Amino acid sequence: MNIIFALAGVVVKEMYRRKDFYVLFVMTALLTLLAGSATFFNDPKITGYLKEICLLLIWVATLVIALTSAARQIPAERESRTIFPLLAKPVTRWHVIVGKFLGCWVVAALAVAMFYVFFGAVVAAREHALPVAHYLQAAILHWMALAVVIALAILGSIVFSAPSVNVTISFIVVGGVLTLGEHLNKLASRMEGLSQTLTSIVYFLLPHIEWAFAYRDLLLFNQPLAPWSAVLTAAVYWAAYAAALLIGAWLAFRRKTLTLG
Amino acid sequence: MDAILRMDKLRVEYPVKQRGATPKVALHGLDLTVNAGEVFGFLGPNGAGKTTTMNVLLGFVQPTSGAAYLFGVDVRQPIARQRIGFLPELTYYYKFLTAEEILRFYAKVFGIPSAEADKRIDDLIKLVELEHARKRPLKSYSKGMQQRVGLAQALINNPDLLILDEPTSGLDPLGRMKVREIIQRLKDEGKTVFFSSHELGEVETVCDRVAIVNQGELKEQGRVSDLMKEHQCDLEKIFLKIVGYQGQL
Amino acid sequence: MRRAWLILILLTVLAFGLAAKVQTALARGDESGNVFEVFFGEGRRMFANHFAVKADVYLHSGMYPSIFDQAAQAEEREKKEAAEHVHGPDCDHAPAHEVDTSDHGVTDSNHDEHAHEDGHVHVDEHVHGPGCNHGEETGSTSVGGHECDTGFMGKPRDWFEAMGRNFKVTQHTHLTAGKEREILPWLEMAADLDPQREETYTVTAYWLSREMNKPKEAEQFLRRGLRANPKSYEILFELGRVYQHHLSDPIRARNVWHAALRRWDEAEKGKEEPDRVGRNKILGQLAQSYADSGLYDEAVRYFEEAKLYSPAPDALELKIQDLRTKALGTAPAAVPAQH
Ligand SMILES: Nc1ncnc2c1ncn2[C@@H]1O[C@H](COP(=O)(O)OP(=O)(O)O)[C@@H](O)[C@H]1O
Ligand SMILES: [Mg+2]
Repeated sequence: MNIIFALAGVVVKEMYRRKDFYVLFVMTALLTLLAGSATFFNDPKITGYLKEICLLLIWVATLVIALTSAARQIPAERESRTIFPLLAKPVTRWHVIVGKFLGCWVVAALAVAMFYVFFGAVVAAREHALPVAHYLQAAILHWMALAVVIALAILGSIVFSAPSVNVTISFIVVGGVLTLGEHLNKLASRMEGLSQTLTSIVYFLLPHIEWAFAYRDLLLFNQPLAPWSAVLTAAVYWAAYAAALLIGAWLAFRRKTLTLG
Repeated sequence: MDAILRMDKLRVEYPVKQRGATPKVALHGLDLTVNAGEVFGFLGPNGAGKTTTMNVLLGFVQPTSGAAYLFGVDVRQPIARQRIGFLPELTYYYKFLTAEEILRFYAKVFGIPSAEADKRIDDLIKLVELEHARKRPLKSYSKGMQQRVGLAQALINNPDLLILDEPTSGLDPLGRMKVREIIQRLKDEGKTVFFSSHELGEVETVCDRVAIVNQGELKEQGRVSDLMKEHQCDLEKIFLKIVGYQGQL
Repeated sequence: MRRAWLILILLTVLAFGLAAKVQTALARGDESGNVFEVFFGEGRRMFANHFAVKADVYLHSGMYPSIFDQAAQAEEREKKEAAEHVHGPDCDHAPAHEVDTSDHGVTDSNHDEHAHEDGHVHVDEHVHGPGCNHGEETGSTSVGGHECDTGFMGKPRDWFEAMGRNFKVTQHTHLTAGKEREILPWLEMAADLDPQREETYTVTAYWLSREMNKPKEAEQFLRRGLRANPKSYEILFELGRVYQHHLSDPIRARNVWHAALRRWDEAEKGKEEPDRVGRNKILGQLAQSYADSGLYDEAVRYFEEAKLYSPAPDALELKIQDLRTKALGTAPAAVPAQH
């Protein structure tokens, strides 16, 4: 465990020393405030569009943070060759995978927390409401969904040689799940034969993290809380999915020859 | 004397990309023993198989046949590396961390209690003479300073065996001098050092024993003084004779 | 990493470009023009349409069928229709809306379900699908989501869908008291992106004037729409309504409606299938305005013309009779606007 925490610590340190994190946060904040400064038909009470834009920006920013940080970790270790002094210590490849994942996930937690506090502040200023339990649910779901995203990018960083390819493919997969994931069963029901089977298989195998993305609507339209049992179920399901991805990453990493010279 | 490092008919073949081609044999059954307290020079021209040997010792490459042991433990087990320190050739450490933070990170990896780690980090930073820069991120370091951080990280667990792959390549004369001094100091402390090199000058002055490999085969091994007596010439001549005069240096 | 960013951006652009291209091809059978014009033109239109739909989504508090739900619904409807071969009262509107659909994207296709006589697609009170029952809001929070009121959603097909409904809006509620304002930004942005989309102005003006008591803003917005679409009789019609019903200026209202009739003549007269509904609307409002101001002769004149376009000329005939007797009877009197 020491080893995993030590590895995670380095990831977190790297993130808060790099500028991208702050740039993304400041950009999100600026764009939100900019959007907030627009007036429509002399009506200062309008907030829905602002909440929507802010939440969308938050999703994009956190996905970018999660994907790029996770995709970078192991390739950077190999490129700078720090992987060798590391593995020359009593560190296994499983430690490396889990440590990197944990680091990225802690970073994601910080990002999600910061963004939702910001969102809460914006909404409170406009609507004079502070539905804390809703934000908590949203943040938990968001963070758990990011676990899947991070695990996916780590697996990708071992399977694909170029980080840019990995980021691109991971982004497409995640974007596809978020936008289409919940509809594949409907699509499948209108298909026939092999394509129906394949679409159904994809539907059942995909990590359905679009639920976290859909939760935005509950915030937007001031809907009642989701049942906590459902939040818990989703969290467990995504955690299991992330674990499976990490095991896959480990299996791929184990077979990878890493040689000096 | 105890064998700290032992290779037993070590053979390594690298798979070749094309189908049907015979795999590339990097080591042809190497037998070698390094004893406690020795400074051992592992010499050979480029491509001789020195780094391949390191790869096996550190568990990065599985031997095709034969075996290698550190402290009597098969290198395939991670625990065999608990008491070693390793300095690879050309590594760029985490640029966003300071020397102190990097050493603390590796100390945590070894599970060294923090009070003890603090003391050891102080000692090491003094040893590699980076006191003035210990709180600066590594991206502001020169290449020689980074190599010294590498040396310090290799020593963080107070290892009994230090493995160095071409420790002086890419360093200026002053840097080489420093590395040689540090090796000498470790020897005085009773540590065992196993390092590869193709630069003979430094070997003569610090090594107790040397082995010369060429094309994956052990050609010669023994005390430097014995070899010189036996061949009636200096180490450089011996080396050239073994690799053939056409061999590149 | 820089390359990764570049690729990402390019891909995004490409995706939108591709969508826009497909859209164009679908809409008009691919007349290849300037690629960039097509690209930006269609892209803008697509976004404008997206925003207009967004406004509708807000109006329904997020309970809104996706294109996939719509496709599933359409299929079900088709099956039903094939079985019964019965056409609903919406049939009259169908051709007009089909033209609409190809112009404004697939997402609009659901509107023909709640098309209104007055052309306000967003104004309905009723529900999207069959089986959505407003009366029984159980609010049960089982994994299966809400038993009732799932409307277009129907029963969940599998565990994942059932789970997902916990995190979605599953109760069909319309925006209430003052919340209608939330649709305004989307409509304004739609107008910014595609100033030629007439519907944006009329729908926005409807909400501003009728539900939000902002007739001045409605007027301004319609004027803006008119500058972008000087030939639009729809916008003029709506503008007249604002003057008549919300700014108490029947004279201006009638001027605007007369202009609307002229625009209608220019645009529709020669056509094989002119927009009869559109003209009927204008004539009806115009005539009623005259009637309300006590100008019965004028009122009768326009109601007479409206008979030519109305689906129910008999009702108009009754009205005309009534007005004729009034004209004979008394002097002009202020009759409260009945709408
Ligand atoms: N990963 C590898 N795959 C295939 N061949 C390799 C690999 N690493 C080294 N070799 C080959 O094995 C031989 C020994 O290489 P190496 O151990 O790196 O030599 P040295 O470190 O002594 O210069 C060389 O011929 C080299 O080309
Ligand atoms: Mg080498």
